[in-house]
Parts: sequence; C-alpha cells; structure tokens
Amino acid sequence: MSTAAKQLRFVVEQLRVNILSNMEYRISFLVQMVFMVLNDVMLLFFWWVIFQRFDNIAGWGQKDIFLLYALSAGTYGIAYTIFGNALRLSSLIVEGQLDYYLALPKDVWLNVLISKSLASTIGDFVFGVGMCLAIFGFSYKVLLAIVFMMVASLILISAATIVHSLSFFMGNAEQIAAVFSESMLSFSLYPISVFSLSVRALLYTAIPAAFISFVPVSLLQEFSFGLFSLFLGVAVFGIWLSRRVFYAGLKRYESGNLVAPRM
Amino acid sequence: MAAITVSNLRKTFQVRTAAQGRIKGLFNPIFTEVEAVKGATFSVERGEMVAFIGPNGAGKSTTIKMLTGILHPTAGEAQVLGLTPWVERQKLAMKIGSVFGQKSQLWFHLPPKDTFRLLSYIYELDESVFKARLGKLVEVFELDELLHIPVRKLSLGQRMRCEIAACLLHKPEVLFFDEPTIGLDVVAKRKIRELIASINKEDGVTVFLTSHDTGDIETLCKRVMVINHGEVILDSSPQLLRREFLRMKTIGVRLEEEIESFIHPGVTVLKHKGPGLKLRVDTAVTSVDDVYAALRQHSRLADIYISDPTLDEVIEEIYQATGSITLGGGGYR
Amino acid sequence: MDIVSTKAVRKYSFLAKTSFASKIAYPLDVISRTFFFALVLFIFTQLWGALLGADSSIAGFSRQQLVWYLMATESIMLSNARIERRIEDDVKSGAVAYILIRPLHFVWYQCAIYFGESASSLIFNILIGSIIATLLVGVPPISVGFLPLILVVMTLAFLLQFLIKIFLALLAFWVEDTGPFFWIYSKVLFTLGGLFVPIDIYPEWLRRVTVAMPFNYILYQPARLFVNFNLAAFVQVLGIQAMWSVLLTALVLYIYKQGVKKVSVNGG
Repeated sequence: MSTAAKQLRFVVEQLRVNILSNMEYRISFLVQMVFMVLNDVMLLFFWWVIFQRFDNIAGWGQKDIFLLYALSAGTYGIAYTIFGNALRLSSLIVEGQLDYYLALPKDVWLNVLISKSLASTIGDFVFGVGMCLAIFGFSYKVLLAIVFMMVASLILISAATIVHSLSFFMGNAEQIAAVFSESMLSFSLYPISVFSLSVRALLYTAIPAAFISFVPVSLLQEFSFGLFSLFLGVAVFGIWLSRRVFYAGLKRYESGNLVAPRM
Repeated sequence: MAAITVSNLRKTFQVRTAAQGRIKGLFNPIFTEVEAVKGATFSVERGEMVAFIGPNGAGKSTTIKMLTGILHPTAGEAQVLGLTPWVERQKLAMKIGSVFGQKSQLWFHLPPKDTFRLLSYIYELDESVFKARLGKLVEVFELDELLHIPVRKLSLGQRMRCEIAACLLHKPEVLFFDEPTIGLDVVAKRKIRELIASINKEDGVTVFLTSHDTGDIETLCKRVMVINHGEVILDSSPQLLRREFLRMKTIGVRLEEEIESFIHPGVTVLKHKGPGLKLRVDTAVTSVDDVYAALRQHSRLADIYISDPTLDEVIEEIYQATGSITLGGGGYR
Repeated sequence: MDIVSTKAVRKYSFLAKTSFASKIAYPLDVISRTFFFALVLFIFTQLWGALLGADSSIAGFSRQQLVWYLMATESIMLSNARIERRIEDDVKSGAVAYILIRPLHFVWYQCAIYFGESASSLIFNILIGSIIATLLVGVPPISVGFLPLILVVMTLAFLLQFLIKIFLALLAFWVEDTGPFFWIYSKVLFTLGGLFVPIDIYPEWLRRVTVAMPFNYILYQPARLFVNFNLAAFVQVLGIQAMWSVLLTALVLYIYKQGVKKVSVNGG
C-alpha cells in the first residue's frame, strides 16, 4: 500500500510541476482555458439548435445529450491534464526520446505518460464539471460524475497507449494512433443508440468509445452495480493490457539514433 | 564597380523588457532600445569574395537581412547592384541568391528536381534557359544521382550541394551565404568550399559569406571583415589577419619540477597550477623556441603542446586591440 | 505585389502543384486522412438517420439529398489544408523573412500551397465520399452539366476559407498563440457554416444572422447548390462569395503589411 501511496504522490507532484510550468505563460494559459470552454459551449449551442427542431435523437433528449458532452469533455480534460504525453507517445518512441525516462528510477509507463499537461484540457474539465453542476445542482451526482470521468479517463489513456505502443513493433504508428484518437473522440460525442448493432459492438471493444461517455451517462441516469463493475473492470483490464503491451514493446526499443527530420 | 555599398547603416531594435510581470507587461510594456548595427560602412566590389565574421549578436545576420531587403534599417543607406534593398526588394530578389545553412529551401518529401523546377517558375526562367542552366549545375555539382531522390533521404552534405545549386539557378550576381558549412563533415566541407570558389571564379559572382569556421574564411576569401555591433572594426585579408592577430600561440606544458613563477617578455601566464602551465606567447615579441629554452632552464618537460588560438580568441584579441568592449549580446537573428 | 502576368500565374500554379505532390508523397497519410473523412461522414449519416426517423424529408431536403449534402460539406471542411500551424510558426520564428527574399508574395505563396494541399485531400475525399453516399442512398441528385459551375463555387469557398485562416494565423504577429482562435473558428463553421445541418432548419432569427456572415458561403451554399442546383441562386451565391473574397483579401493584405512592418522594425 505504501508503494501505491508513493506512486500517487509522484503523480500529484508531477501534475503540480506541469501545471506550474504551463502557468509560466499565464496569458496563453488563461486564453487556452477560456477558449476551450467557449469551444465546448458552442457545441452545446449546436445541439440546442437541433433540439429546437427535433424532440429527441434516438430517444435522447437535450438534457441527455448535454450530460453526454459534460462527461466526455470532463474525461478528456482529466485524461490529458494528467497524462498529457499519451497524445505523442508514438513520436516519442519513434524519435527515441524515451531514453530520458529509462534513466530514471520510476515506472517508465507512468513516468512517460504524466510528464506533460495540456493547458487547454483543463478548460475541458472545468466545462465538464460546470455542466454537471448545471444539470444536477449541488447533488452527490456531481461527485459521482467526477469519479466516472476519472475511471473513463483511465480507459481512454490505456486504449490510446496500446495503439501508440504499436510504434515499438511496426515502426511509425503515428498516423494510426491519430486516426484512432480522432475516432474515439468522434464516437464519444454522439449517443451510441444512433448506430447499428455491429457498430455498437465495435464501440465496446476495438474503439471503446462507449465507455467514455455512454456508459457513465447511463450509470448516472440509472445506477446499476452490474454495469458499474463492468466499467471498473474494463478500466483495470485496460491498464493491465496497456502496461503489458508497452513493456513488451520496450524490449524492442531502439533508443535515440534517429535524427529529427526537418519538415 | 561596386556590387554592394553600405554607408552608416544603423538598426535599433525595440526589445520588451521581460522582467515585468506578464499581465502588467501586456498593457504597459516597457521597451529598451538595443543597437544591433550601429553605423556600418563598407563596400564590396563585383566579383569579390568577402567573409563577414564576428560572434553571435555581432550584427552579421541583421546586416545580411538589411542587404537582402528583409529588414528596414533605422538609418543609413545601402545599395546592392544599384538597388536599395528594402525599397526594391522584389526586383533585387531576381538578382541575388542566398543560402542559409540552417534553413532549407528544398521540399523535404520531394526529390530536388521538383524544387529546381519550381524555382525556375518562381524566378520566371524560360524553359530553354532553365534546362541549360540545370544541366551545367548538375555537371559541376555532380547531382546526377541525387536529382531523383527525395530530399529526406539525402545526407547533409548532399543536401547542401543541392541547396547551393538551387540558389544558382537564376544566375544571381550576388550570393549571400550564412554559415554554409555548418554541421558538415571534413570531406563535405571541402567539397562545398571548392564549389563556392568555382562559382566565384567562373561566373564572377560576388560572394558575401558569414561563417564561424576559420577554414571557410582562410580557404575562400581574400578579404575578411570583422564586425561588432555591425561596425566594421577590421577590414583585412586572412593572411594579414593571421600575421597580425594569429601571431599569438598557446603553449601548454607540464614540468617535471614545479616552479614558483615564470616570467618572460611577450608571455602571459594564463594558468599555473602545480607543475602545469598554460601560456600565451606573442610571437612578435619572442619566439616559441625562446620560450621553450627558458622553460628548459627551470626543469625538464614532461609534456608540451602548442596551438593556434581559436577564431573566437582572435576576434576577442581584435576587439581588445580596437578598444571595442562588449562581446556578443542578444543574437538578433 | 506581383503584376498578374502569365509568368506569375505559372509561378503560383506550379507552387500549388508541388505542394500537391509533396502532400501525397506518403500514402499512409493519405489513407488515414481519407479514412477519418469516411468515418465522420458515416457518423453524420447515422445521426441524420436517427433524426429523420420515419420522416422522408426535412426543410425541403430529402433523405438522399441530405446524405449528399453531408458529403459535400464534409469534403470542403475536412479537405482544407491545415496551414495555420505552419504560418504561425513562420511568423514566430521569423521564417517569413526567408520567403521575403524570393520574388514571391507571402500571402499568395501560402495561398498556392493551401490550394495544392487541399486539392490532394479533396480528390480522395470526394471519391470515397461519393462511393459511400452512393452505397447508402444511390446516385447524386444532380446533372453532370452543372458540375463545372459547382466547382467554381467550391473554389471560391476554399478561397474564403484560406483568407479567414491566414487572417487568424497572421494574428501571431501580435498574440502569443493563435491555436484557440482556430478551435472557435472550426466550431463556427460547424454551426454557422451549416456543416451538419442545412441552415434552413434554424430558427428564423438565427438563419438571418447566419446568412449575413461569410461562413455559410463556405459550406452550406456550395453544398446546397450541389444537391439542388438553381441558376439564379448560383449567380447570387457567386456574387456574394466574390464580395467577401475581395473584402477579406483587402483585410488580409492590410494586416500582413502591418505585421511585416513590425518584423521590419523589430526584427524576427
């Protein structure tokens, strides 16, 4: 247990340093945060327009959609505020930039992922929590939503790192990783019930976007222990798998002999 | 006839003082004026090959940027091929070429021939002129095999050959090279130097180059200008530079027996630690041989090396000799 | 500025051709871009399926027309080259200067690259998009004869996109980071441009606001003409697009001049 506590302290400390270093560019930081919130609000506006015309979309009302947005924004916010490097893991691998982390006495998987925070994503988190407050008021459900966002962010990060780790095995997987990330994002922004059954199956497995927004929203609407256990189980399994793939790949890591190309 | 004439060229930059708080600085910025170039005056004849040297921040790049029309000077005048660069930039662009060692003009994902073709349109060359010119450049620069390989797969030396060929396509009358051999290995450096020399000789192109590499300057140029803050503080030949300023030698020795002190005319003790000594010898006052003999009187020598000062040391020497004080500064590139 | 001569036209069109070639040098890039386009198109058609439910049409758009409408707006939206990051970097690093040494105008240089790169995506996106749309709802509701006219409107739509993007990117002369402007811009296109929804279904007040702005001339108008051509509407759209182009060009050239002056005065 004490190792877990140490790891947690390490994560928190790294997060603090990351955020402080972002804050060095205070104006830029604030602008990014505010504009990200604005960005999210504009999407809500879009849905508001849609719901002026339609009552529901595949059984989903305006409030449900807004909740969906709140959860996916919050999840992305937490994920990339804490694990900001997950977005560029494959280029780190290809360019041989893992050397630095390999020289440190820390868990490489964790250390790499948490070594960067994206300033804009804090805006996403703020928006997500703000929306939950707007929907539920000061209710325990807001706390529950935040817990779900955390669990979902673990699923998101483990899925992303698995795909990025393909770079260890097949050379450059940056493009594949980019396509995967964009697919995850796109699918997590819409209610899953608009898709056909085969696509839904895909969204629970290969592109697990269902767990980013749809599952937590369902849990908030109607809590069920079965679904919650599945949700947690997927997160634990995801992290386990992600670490396995990463460390299997690390054995084939070729270090930094690649000169960064001039584009 | 002069290809470049510069008189009293000045450039001051306004630099925001960073020490202010970010928020406060945003609304009420405080500017400090920095003189990057103060009153440069010189001229370069057609067909000359001139090196422009000085440490970072000496105003080399700023001067080149004014001569190519990128920057407007704060005051002063300059003419390149009879044109005022910042007034007639586009017209001048047709007549000059430039290679910036750290900035590629070749398209990274495409073979060089595509960039050459594109440049022929940019510089509005007729098809027949372009073909003849490219043929010649391919021959001189030995580009035959490189022409069809994507740039990303070329070595740095091969790429540099293509870069230089690219800037020659439109037969420029004046060439500006900013650090053309930076990062190259010895063989590639020699190749590039030979090529630059041949361009200058055969086509009579005026070459204006900046470099950190003494080798570039000594093998290529008959004339060297040392600058500080854009002021030409020495205008001379490499030979003279060597005679005047490279007369200093550095001698390092390790004696078998320690000595209290070493005093000799024309010798400055740079470092003295136990049996180890590092000396600067002014060969105009004394000779290396005399110093050696004087040392031998004290003790047998365990080890000795003699070296030329580095270019930076030479420049420092020049700065001291001319009474110019500050070295370096910002590096306003 | 360049005098418009055949040589100048050749110069910039070859530049566009070169950036086209450079962009398709990596097949994997092309495939993944096209795949993403197909994915978004798929999601949006599914969403529309859910929205329409049992209805056969909405605001004058049949189910078939809607799918082809989405194909057209998505093609324009996702093909447009991401030049903003590069322009911002050029401005920040002072690389603008290196372009200044050549007989080229920075704005038109970027414009040529933009068109070359966009075309390289557009071709594949339209190809895949047409296949998907045909599989879903059958051949497009349009006669081939109008296609050249559609192409004109599309070209102007890309020009408008370019002008707005370079305008935002040039703000890098004054602000630290222009990225956030582009997030907002893409959302503006999403809503006011009519990416997903033809603006006809908007509440009347919003529709009016939208029509008064240039964004719907980038996505909505070309796509509407594509699925439902009408010569009078075409002429009107063309006129307004031209007007916006002139206005924005003037604005961009002005702001560029101010920015370059800043570089000239203060260094890169």
